[in-house]
Amino acid sequence: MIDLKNVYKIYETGDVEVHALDGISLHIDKGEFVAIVGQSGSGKSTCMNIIGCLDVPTDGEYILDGIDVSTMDDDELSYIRNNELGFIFQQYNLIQKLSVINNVELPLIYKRYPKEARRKIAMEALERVGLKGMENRFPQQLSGGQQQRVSIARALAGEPSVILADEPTGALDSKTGIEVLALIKKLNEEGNTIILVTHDNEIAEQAKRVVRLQDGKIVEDRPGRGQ
Amino acid sequence: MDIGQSFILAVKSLMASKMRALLTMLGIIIGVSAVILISGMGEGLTAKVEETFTSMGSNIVTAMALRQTETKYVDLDKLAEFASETEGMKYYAPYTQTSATAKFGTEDASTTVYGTNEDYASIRDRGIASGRNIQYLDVEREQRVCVVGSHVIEELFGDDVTNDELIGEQLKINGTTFKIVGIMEEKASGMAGGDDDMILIPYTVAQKVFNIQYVNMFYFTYENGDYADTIIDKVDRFFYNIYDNADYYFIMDAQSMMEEMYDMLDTITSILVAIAAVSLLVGGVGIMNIMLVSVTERTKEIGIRKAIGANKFDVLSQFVIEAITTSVIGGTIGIMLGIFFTNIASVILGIEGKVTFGAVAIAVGVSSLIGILFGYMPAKKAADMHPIDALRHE
Ligand SMILES: Nc1ncnc2c1ncn2[C@@H]1O[C@H](COP(=O)(O)OP(=O)(O)OP(=O)(O)O)[C@@H](O)[C@H]1O
Ligand SMILES: [Mg+2]
Repeated sequence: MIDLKNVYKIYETGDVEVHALDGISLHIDKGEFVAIVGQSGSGKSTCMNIIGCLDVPTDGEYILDGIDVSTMDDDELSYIRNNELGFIFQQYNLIQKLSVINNVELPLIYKRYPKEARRKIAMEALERVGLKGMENRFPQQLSGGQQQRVSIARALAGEPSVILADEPTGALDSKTGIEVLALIKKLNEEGNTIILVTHDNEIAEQAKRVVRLQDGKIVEDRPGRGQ
Repeated sequence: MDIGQSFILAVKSLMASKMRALLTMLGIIIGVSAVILISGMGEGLTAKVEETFTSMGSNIVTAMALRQTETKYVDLDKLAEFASETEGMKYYAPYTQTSATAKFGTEDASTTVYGTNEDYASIRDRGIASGRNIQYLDVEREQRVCVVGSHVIEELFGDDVTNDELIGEQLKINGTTFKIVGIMEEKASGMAGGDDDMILIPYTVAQKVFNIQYVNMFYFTYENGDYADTIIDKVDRFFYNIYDNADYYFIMDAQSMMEEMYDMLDTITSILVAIAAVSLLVGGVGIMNIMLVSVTERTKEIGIRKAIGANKFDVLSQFVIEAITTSVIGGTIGIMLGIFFTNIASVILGIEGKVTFGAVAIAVGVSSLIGILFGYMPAKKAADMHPIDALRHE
């Protein structure tokens, strides 16, 4: 379902050209749980942003669900993100002045769902991440782990084909991190395709497949222990 | 985009920083209230002018002979003939105007005495409360009779007598005895110096008593507005034939004076409203300024929304709705303040200010337009943000 073909991402900072992605080809099927690992600066986030349609490659092809997204414009990419992808960020990225339920409803607002349907789906998503009863709180009133669960619920509410998580446990203590990871694993077991970026080998091994990046290139692609 | 939610969010963020919201809206508030105040007072002034002119009487042409000599003077018989023969002419009254002292017993009153004919009362819209008006024969036979205004009656006789009792009484005007034949209905609340402070006598008598050789003021009225131009024209020609020179007489009609006055008031009001509108513009720039700050502050939020699937239009409309909400709330406060100030100004200036529905509608329309106009640029900036750059922003 995800098909990167010889993808380059080149940043030009002053005179220096940075090859953040240097000819990557990667195929990910439906239902997979892939961990992308590598040292800092190896291109993990860049790769994730391209898979997440937040950015477009400088060169190469990206086919998502049979659609070539590498040449799409801004609004078309918004549509794909809204309908195919769910994001879990390291910093949760919740909107502080919106209540928990309103945050979770956000992708559905942009899908133009009617209010009742939005409410119902968002409540179900909150229940799935174990936050039932907290829908009217605001993000500041939650712990880091709870906030991350809200962001997972938000990703789920959009019923995406792929869930992308960039360092989802990076801002959490190890115990909460393990809980969140367990939740992500459970989502995979329920059939969601998951791509997870981490520099923590322990976490990476929980995935079914581990892809290692170095200097913008894939240097390793093997099954993980989660298999 | 969910308009309801955008609106609620906009109100919330305004409430969150009230001082900033107030400063943002200040320009709009001042602009709108100034427009409401000025247009309201303009309306009031126009109404006041209209009232003044209406009380002067409508369909009236006034002529004044500025200089009369043995050879060039207004022949009253000819003028009466001219008036009766002219089609569309309704009333005609020559008149003199003299300050005089009226006396009854030991009481006296200084007042204005008009020497005129039987039509004067109709022309000036004066009703007779008791007795009768001046009549044609009074003029012809130089009868020393008078019709008295209510203020003079009160000065001379006090409140204790009824009008009817006074008919037939005699009073002295500058020493000459006159018989009271009529009393006029009150018109100007009985005020001194107003329409009730006057006495009417036959002009033939006035000429004798006050030693006036030539009557020099004349009223003409026409049947209806259709005759206005021809009557003014004919009166003008009558006087021109006497003098062969337009400098020796003067003709004016209430209608065209009123129209000129309206035009002038309209122009003044428009200019003032235009000046006030400039402050609306400044208010719009204020909103744009704050919106730009707000967009920068909320870059991260914009990034999140875009990452989750908001497209350009979603983000654009969110910020435009916010700008409109701000300016419309400012406009509403401005309208209320404008009405408040109009009421205060009405009391201070003694002019009944009128806030019209039109002015309010325009104020609302203009302030939402300003929201769209000045909110668009910052909103566009937000909509065009690149999601990754926006997300990275702290
Ligand atoms: N906007 C940009 N402009 C210029 N260079 C960039 C930009 N974004 C990333 N890079 C460069 O591209 C390379 C890959 O960056 P990337 O963020 O993908 O690394 P990463 O693997 O996610 O690292 P980390 O583990 O620290 O998050 C780095 O060398 C980085 O400096
Ligand atoms: Mg990274």
